[in-house]
Amino acid sequence: MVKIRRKYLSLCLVAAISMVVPACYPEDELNIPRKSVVDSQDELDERIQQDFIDEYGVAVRYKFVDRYVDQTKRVTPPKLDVVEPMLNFLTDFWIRPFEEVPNGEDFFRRHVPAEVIFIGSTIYNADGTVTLGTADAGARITLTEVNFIDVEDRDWIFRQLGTIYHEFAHIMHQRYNLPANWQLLSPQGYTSLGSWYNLTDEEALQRGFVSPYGTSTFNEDFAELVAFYLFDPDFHTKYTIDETSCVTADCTARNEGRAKLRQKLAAAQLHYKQNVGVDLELVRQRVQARLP
Amino acid sequence: MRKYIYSIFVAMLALVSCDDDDIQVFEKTADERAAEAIATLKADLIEPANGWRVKYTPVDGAGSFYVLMKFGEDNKVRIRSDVSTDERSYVDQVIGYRIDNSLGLELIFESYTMFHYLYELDQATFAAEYEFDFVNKTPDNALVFVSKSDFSNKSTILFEEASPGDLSLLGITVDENLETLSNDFDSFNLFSSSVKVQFTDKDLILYGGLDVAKRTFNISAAARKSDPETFELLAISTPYILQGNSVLFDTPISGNFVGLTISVGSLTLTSLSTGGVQPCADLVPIHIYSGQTSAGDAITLESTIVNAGGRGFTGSTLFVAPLSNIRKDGGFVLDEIEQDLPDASEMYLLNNFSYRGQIITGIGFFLQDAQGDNALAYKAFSASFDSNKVTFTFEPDIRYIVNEDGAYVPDANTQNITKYLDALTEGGNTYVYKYADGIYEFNNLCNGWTAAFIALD
Repeated sequence: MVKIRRKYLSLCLVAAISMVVPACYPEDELNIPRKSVVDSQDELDERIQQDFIDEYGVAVRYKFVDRYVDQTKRVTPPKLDVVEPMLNFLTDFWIRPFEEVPNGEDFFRRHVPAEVIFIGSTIYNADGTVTLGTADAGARITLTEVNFIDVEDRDWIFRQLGTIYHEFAHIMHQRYNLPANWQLLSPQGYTSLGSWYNLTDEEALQRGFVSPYGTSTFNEDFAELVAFYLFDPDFHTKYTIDETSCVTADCTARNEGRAKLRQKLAAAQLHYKQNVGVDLELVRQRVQARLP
Repeated sequence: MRKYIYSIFVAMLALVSCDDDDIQVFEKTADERAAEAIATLKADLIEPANGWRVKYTPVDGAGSFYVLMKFGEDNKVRIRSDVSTDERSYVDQVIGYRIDNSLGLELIFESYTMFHYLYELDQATFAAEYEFDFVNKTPDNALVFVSKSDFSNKSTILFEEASPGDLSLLGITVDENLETLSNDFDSFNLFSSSVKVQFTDKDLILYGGLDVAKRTFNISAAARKSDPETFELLAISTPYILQGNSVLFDTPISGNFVGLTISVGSLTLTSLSTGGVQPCADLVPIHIYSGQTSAGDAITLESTIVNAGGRGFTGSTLFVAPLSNIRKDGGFVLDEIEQDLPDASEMYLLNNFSYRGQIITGIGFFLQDAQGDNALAYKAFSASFDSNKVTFTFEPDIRYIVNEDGAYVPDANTQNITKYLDALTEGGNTYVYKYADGIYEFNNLCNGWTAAFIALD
């Protein structure tokens, strides 16, 4: 009897609350007025709308928003006159190389991230240090140092392409996972959390990675490998072709690292081919042909 | 029973919170109120026919900049300034602006401006700002903003209604000419600025340096025109602002210098001409800016290799130069030093330095071996001066100041200190410049070697 009465009382309370809470909002409606946005008449904005938003569904943001970096950092916006050349740069080195290879256009259109952010400066930290480049795990590509645009300067180009291709590669494993057995190709080489920056390039290579940052996680390893493969003209010399006549332990270790990298490259190429039908080698050729 | 109490409590919470929501504290929603505030500030920004005038001082101790801004209904702002660098990019530009609503109203310049340029000076350590929170409108219709981008010591910026003639405040040509003048010695890869104000009708030269980007002017010595060795060391520094053709000092340069009393509140600069100096084989062109002081004295402001202010280094006895302060043709020589002197960590200059009863004048390197044993390996010298030009005469042998244990064993590499001492002093072409308080640059103008020494006493 007590149990029945408790149950009855509980039901009554729940019913009462259920009646009272919705009753608080008798006039709530779902058709909340939407804020109107007037299309910009600015030529630059029109080009971005037409060539990037309408065409590919990617918004290129060049107008300053401080929330693009966290509140302990500072960045400056792009100079107005670098935005157009940066759009051309994106077209030439990102969109076209994919569009010009079989299945590349379809792949690009279906996988392009929603936003590309232009930041004029490097990233200034509160402690007086600076950060070069940034990573947003695939959903957004943030390009720093666009105010220093120089399409004849390979160092600048490689920094930008490294970021673009790296972030674009993240989308592959987000959609299709990593290549099979990727985690088994250099399992001992990964670094503990936050310690990748203690590694040198040489040490990373000996472990079977193209960069120290690649040792931080399986996903970063994949993204770094694809990025370096696409932009670095000396990729094979540095990372896949063994040094001959090795007589030192370091040389032997580098060649052991290269053996792992050959496996990784083959796995990454197969992954793209099988899942999206894109031959990364052809994309690389298109990128390399455009370098100054 | 406890369960019922909890249930009733939850029900009461729900009821009470519902009640609160029903109360209309404001007549309008938060969105409506924010939109209204933004519209009001935008209307205020657009209102003045001649736009706004800002006398912008990025940080205490730096100079100031007049900035004129005309905001438009179309979310564009025309910004005019006399920051002439970067090919006059910031002299007259139209960019987008936006008023955001966060914790308050924020004025956002959407593209790069002179504010951002100033912010980025010295790897963004200059403490200028580029993003502004609106504070209030004053009774005389000025708009008060406080910087958002500063991590601390937030600056206040006052927008005052501009007058039709305010365009004449901008000193674009003067800024550009001062920058041209300050680049005269780029070929020497001089860290320091070295300029002089020479009085045409007075027997007086003021030596100093100019920071065109931060707009500060310092006077480190005064000398007789007729006798450069009659000089007086000074430590005067003042921020300045440009106004038309004039450089207005925040603090007038006043006093009795080498027997002459002057008071200079500003320099009006009117014509730029060229000249030349020839410390080495080639003639190096320089610029000479003619004008007059606020007291009516005719002057020239010009680049100078002779600068008595460099002699200020003789006031200290011990200096250190980190190896990164030693440069050749403007580039680091760290790798070269590492190869020649693997144990070297710093360069030292001793000037009548008293050590264990000895008075030492010498220059050399601090060396420390893998065991932690160390020594200062130096060559003693005597110096002769011609204003800031120093001629070194070295003794032949390397000497050592060793630590208490005396265990450091010099090796063959130690002889390599001579290579660097010779480079810095060869040909008697070493000129000393005051880079900043307590920092002196020894530059061999004829071979590209330079080292900046920091006084330790």
